[in-house]
Amino acid sequence: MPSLWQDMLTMKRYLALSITMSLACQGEGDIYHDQVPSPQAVNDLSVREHTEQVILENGRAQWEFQINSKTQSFSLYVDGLNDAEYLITELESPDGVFVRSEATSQEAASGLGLAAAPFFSANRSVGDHGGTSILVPNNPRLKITQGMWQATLQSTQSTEHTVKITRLEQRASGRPASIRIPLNIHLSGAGGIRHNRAGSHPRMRRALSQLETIFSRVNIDLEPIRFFEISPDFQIIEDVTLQNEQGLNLLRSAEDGQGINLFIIERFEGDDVVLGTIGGVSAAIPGDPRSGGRFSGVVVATSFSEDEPETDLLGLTIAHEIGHFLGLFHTEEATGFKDNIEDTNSDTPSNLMHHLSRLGFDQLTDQQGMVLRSHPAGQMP
Amino acid sequence: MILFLGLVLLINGHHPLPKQFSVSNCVQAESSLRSFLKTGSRPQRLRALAILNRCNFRLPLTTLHHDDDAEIRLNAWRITLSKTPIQSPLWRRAYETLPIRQARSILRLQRRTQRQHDALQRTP
Repeated sequence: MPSLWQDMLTMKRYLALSITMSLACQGEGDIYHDQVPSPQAVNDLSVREHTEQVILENGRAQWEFQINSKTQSFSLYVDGLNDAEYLITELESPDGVFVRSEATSQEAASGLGLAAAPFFSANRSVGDHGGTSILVPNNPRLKITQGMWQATLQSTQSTEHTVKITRLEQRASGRPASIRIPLNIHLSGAGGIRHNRAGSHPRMRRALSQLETIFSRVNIDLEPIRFFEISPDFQIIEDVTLQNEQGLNLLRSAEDGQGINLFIIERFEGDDVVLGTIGGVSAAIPGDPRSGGRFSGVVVATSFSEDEPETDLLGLTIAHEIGHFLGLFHTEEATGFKDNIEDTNSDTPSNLMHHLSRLGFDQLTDQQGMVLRSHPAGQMP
Repeated sequence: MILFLGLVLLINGHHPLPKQFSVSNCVQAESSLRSFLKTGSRPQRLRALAILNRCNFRLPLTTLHHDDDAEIRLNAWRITLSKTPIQSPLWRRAYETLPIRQARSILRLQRRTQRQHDALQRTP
């Protein structure tokens, strides 16, 4: 099967080339606020769900949708064929272009292939297997304007087929200054952490305390936290992309509840000779707050680091993957590619979302906080 | 422009490692990687081990088979067994010397290797 957008764009893979690029082509219409809007204490936060079927012909579909005046952000989730890849290659608001398909010559030389232009667009768009997702805006300076929006979806599957597209709109009187997100933790018994005693397990308590510290700094309360039991068969996950049958079954094993579904496994065990080098993965950027879908969760491995308070990376890895799930990219990839967020570009190396996450890398900027709070998992505090 | 010079930096992080490294990057990083393999935290040691292995450097596998950390022992055995015939008694020794959680990984590797071996036998 052709791989038009190359696996590197899923962030579950590694970017192997390196190039320094400016954030090009941001002048396509009046899509930016002069200044990043100030977050507000809102009392009317809600999420609206819209679903539609779209037919792709020759690997391409275009559709339109109406955005309401109270919409602060929205996420699109495309559910397609298992053996195809998908990418939103164009997105246009009444003000201008958020995602574009035409790459500059510099971008075309980036090694990202047809995915280069969406990747370097004002609102970054990346492809994935079996579907794709996008959070808009994933740069807080972008304006979400009322009116008709237009999007284009491309697929590696050229035969005519239908995909389901769900749009989750966050509506409020302003960009929320604080939110609450339910956290559902699914335990396979990995690391000796069992669902009926997880709340008092020292390692889990340590991880949850770290999560609370990190996310409370950007006014996100992970609440309520609930524990669920899943089959010990999920202690070992064979495909880090989570797109084989076992990976999808893991994600589908969460039956209940909106929010973040966190799956605790022992290790990822693929074809690599040396195991244990992968600590965690988010099913997508952004992930799906509804349970049971192909993008519904983050998976973290207990064997990745030691169960010692001084060296344990479990809490930090969970926090990093939740950052991806809620829409953040790495502040800087190993390749030198930077994210689109203004206040991370001076790049404090201690940022939680740096690709070299490690002990002490637990900071989030104000604008990263705004992106996180734009995710449709957010509820009234 | 290729800026991807610092293999050593990759001992931190928790995302997948690149599949291949250039010879010059490997040579440049070898001494630091060996140092991390000796004294780093578990994730640093595992990633150093993986990078050194992908760079095709000689590894102290016999020593690592007796490491204090069972995850390091597991991966040292996996490297050894990746070059060991399926009939070898080393397979049994590997899973008998590892705790159950790690031994299960050896059994899975053995089953996978056996399937590949059988498929090759069936190929005319």
